[in-house]
Amino acid sequence: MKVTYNWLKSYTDFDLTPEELADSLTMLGLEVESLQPVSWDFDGIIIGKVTQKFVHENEERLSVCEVDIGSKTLNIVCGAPNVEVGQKVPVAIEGTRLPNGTVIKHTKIRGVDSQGMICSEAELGISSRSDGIMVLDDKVEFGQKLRDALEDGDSVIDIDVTPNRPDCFGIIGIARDISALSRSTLKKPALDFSENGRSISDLIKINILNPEKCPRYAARFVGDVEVKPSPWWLVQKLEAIGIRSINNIVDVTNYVMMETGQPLHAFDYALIRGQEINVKTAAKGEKFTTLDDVTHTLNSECLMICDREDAVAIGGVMGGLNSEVSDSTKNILLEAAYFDPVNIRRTSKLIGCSTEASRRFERGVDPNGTLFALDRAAQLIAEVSGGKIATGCIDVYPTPIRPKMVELRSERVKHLLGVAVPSAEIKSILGRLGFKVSGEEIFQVEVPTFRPDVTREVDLIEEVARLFGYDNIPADTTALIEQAVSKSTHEQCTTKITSTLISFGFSETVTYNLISRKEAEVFSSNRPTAQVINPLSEDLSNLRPSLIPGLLKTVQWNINRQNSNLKLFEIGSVFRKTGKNIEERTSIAGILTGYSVENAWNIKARNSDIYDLKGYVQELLARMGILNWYFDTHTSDFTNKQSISVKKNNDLLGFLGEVKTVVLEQFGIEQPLFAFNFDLEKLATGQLQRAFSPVPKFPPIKRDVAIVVDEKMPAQSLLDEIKEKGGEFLKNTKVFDIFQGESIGAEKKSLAFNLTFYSLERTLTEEEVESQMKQILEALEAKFSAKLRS
Amino acid sequence: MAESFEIILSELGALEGAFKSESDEVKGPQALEEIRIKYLGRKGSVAQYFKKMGSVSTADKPKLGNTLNKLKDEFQTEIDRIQVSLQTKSEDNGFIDLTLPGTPPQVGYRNPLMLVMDEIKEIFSSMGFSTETGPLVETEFYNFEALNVPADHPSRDLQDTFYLENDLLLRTHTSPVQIRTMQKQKPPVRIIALGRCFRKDTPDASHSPEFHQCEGLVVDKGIAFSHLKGTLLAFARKLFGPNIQVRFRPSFFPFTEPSAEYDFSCIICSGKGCRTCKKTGWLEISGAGMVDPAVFGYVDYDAEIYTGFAWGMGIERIAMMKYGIDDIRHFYENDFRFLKQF
Repeated sequence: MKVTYNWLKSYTDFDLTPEELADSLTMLGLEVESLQPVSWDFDGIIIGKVTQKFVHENEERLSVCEVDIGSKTLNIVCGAPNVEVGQKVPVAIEGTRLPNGTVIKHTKIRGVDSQGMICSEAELGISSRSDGIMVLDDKVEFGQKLRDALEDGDSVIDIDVTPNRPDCFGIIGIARDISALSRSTLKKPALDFSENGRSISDLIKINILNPEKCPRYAARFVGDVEVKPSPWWLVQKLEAIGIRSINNIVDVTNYVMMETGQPLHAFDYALIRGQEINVKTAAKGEKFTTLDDVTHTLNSECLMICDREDAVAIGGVMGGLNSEVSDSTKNILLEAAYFDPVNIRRTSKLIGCSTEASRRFERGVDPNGTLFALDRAAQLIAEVSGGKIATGCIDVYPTPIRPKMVELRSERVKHLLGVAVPSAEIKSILGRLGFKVSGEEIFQVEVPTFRPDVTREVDLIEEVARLFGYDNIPADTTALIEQAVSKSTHEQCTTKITSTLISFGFSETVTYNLISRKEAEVFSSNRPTAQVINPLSEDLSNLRPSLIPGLLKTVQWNINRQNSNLKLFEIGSVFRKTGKNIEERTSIAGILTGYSVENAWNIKARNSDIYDLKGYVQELLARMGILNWYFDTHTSDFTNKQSISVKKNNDLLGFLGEVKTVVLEQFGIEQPLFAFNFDLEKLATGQLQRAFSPVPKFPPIKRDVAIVVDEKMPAQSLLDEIKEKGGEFLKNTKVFDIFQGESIGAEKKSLAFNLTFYSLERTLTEEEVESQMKQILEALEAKFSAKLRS
Repeated sequence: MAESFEIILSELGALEGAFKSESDEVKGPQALEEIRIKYLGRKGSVAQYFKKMGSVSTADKPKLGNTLNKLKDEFQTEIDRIQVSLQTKSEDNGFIDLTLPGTPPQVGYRNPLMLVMDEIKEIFSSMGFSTETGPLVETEFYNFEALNVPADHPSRDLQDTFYLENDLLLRTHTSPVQIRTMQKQKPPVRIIALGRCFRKDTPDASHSPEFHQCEGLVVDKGIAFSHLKGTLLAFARKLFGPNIQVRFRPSFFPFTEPSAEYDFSCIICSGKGCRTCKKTGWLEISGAGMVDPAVFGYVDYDAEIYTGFAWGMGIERIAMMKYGIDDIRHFYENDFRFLKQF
């Protein structure tokens, strides 16, 4: 909502600079988005006076004028029919660039010198009016720049009006808040017009068929109007707040709407068939063309303004092309109504058309401000169009909306704000805002109908707080308690995983939950994915079924920026459709790609591989205190054959593996990439608090042994067997070498193990360990034909 | 024949002197070993004198023993000292280029959004707030209706919503967690809820369709607007230091009444006015207010008895202020060159 400083000042006195005013408005809850001087972009436009006019010697439709621009007199050829001697007109001098891009040159028009151009409003970019030159008020001085002649020193204030303040969609409403703050009076414009004797009741009949959707409909008739460009003061005021001038009639309806917040509509009376207006709902599927030449399809909830034959406007939204005021309009039917806010909003949403009028009606205009706005508009139309106002107005208002009474306890103000506002101050504040207050300590407050947002005691308290000043409410820290708060398992688990992975060298990423359908489908295991009905773009149209696509996008982003050695993880939500619902779980996923160790002067680079990832996962599970888990085989659409699942009691906790090349290609990744994924809730079942286990006091005995087996023999089988036969003192077995070569035979491999034995109670003897080793080797030989490597 | 104890003592004095002068001259480990053998070896000088124990009077025996032991310890200490100093010298002589870069440890980095969220949690935790969570996929009821945002009200336009099938939607704020918490718990309530939210904003430097909020809610007997001001001021000072100011100004949210927008004094210019704060001296943070009685109605709290306050806070905004980050998209791109700074 834009207002100008001077316009506001015409309704209330205040002693504030534009900057101070903007600050005060913001602190009143009318947040000022911008404050700018009103500037007119009329470079090179000088006010001239037409001193002579001749008919062009070669073209009788053209005039040749002498125009005094103060410093000199220009000879200008003009094609406008309305140019006359004595007029003050805007002149574009040589070199001026007009808003439409035309650059004015000294030229010859049909053989006669023309040293500039007398401009129409359209040429100046003020309005669409192009049928004649713009004639300025006779009082302006010629010779000065047009910009200087216009009201200057004014500022435009753009206010972000919150949805609860429909009254501030009218400048008077904003002025009322300022007057309440500055304790000055609000000066509403006085009504002063005469009626010409014809009675409106002879001219129009109005019926409301759906009074619940249209509680009030009022109309006036203004006859014998001349539709023409608006006077300059009107053009200028509208232009300053960003409304384009159309003609004097439409401009007045806009002006009064901006002033009062009450939308108005002017019909061409001649186009209202049957001299009657019927306010009723549309037929389902009814089509109607609004004055912007768009045809809308309506439903039976939409309220229409109809004449005897057909609809002439969509109530509260926009008038129809069929009854629009035009240059030939002679008589005006002026409408001011109050429509049900919810219904206007539904209609506006249905037809996808939000107008200055609908925005006001859907927030709730003042149902008792109708007549003031109607009279004000009728008066101004008569003034600017020479029209005559018919006697009386029609006001169909079957069930008047009365002001609400709300009780306000002085004590409750203190209770809610934490500061005692004196009763007299409460009374004064509400009074200044237009509320009628009676009583002491417990007040009976009559809420004016222009404040539909105030319905309860708490709403009145907000009004008191607003004017009392939020700055004047103390900051009280006594509600704070210094205490330790226990953390949920989920939270503890998240913290633990994050710190563990960070310590492993994984970096934390945050990616979107919304991904493209194509990305989602790769990771959805053939289940339907959860889709957004109204996505911003196809790229953000599905809820992710997995964190991995987001990580892959992050990898791609980084590889494109020469960072190809990455260890990343994310903890976040993943989604899947389960019938009508969407199941949401927290996942933890990570990826590993590129070098696990980068080249340095003392280190040789090494590519990361699945074993790096397996190591991280094993350690993560250990740190999370998960017991009795085991690896199993795994298959998925996006990992290749070398992937492993992690299970516990046959329940899948997660998996790890190498991502398929085809999937990586989809994300533009051309290097091997390994990923893991776990369900957070399942990892949260572990024992984060662990008991101490004693550190051995007696020395361990270590044995290295290398055996030769078939190359396809899984190492895990051997490890399991070693563990099984190793006895209670075998505490640790490591694989420290794998070898294949001719010396041990084809299709064979040698695995070298390092076994650690110890006891917590005593020093083991060499003999004990030897006998255990013997048992192990015999078992390996019997079960796997393993031979000791010689 | 008993040797004079005094003579032996004087000889020992000479021995000590000889040891000192010889050991001072030592140049390398080899020479040091020779000295050790000469004085402390099995056949060394000190051992020779121990052999003379039998030839002194009974009364002098313990004195001689004592003196010899002291001397032996003294020589040993000196030899050890010289050995250490020789070692150090030899290491200093080798060329070690310490200007070569150190071996980088393998560490991971955190996303600053998460760092800030942890810090916010920590601060509120110290003020007695526990953390609640809620789903990202929400219903109209929790996201709008129970927060006093009726279906056909213009206030729904404040938040452009992503809708899913079957009347589900992606939460536009963390406020649904308020309702979920109050439904399962009676006052006093003192919680924060942090997490992801969604609004249909085209991404640019200051907008992201996904973003994070921190919601706060306090409900108890006797809670007033002044407590809201005190709480957010205390928070701001813990996060940004003791000089930060907080400004509250009236605003509108359907779920609070009175409602406020709150601003922090600009941390760049300390409130003097600069480009970051558009010359106002204030940085807009978010909305807050006293819980609207209508909201209490939905969770069956008696608004006559209980009052409360709530606030929202954009995490991205706070993180951008804290680290001077100029583009919200950095958080979601996870460029390693960006993450590496945190």
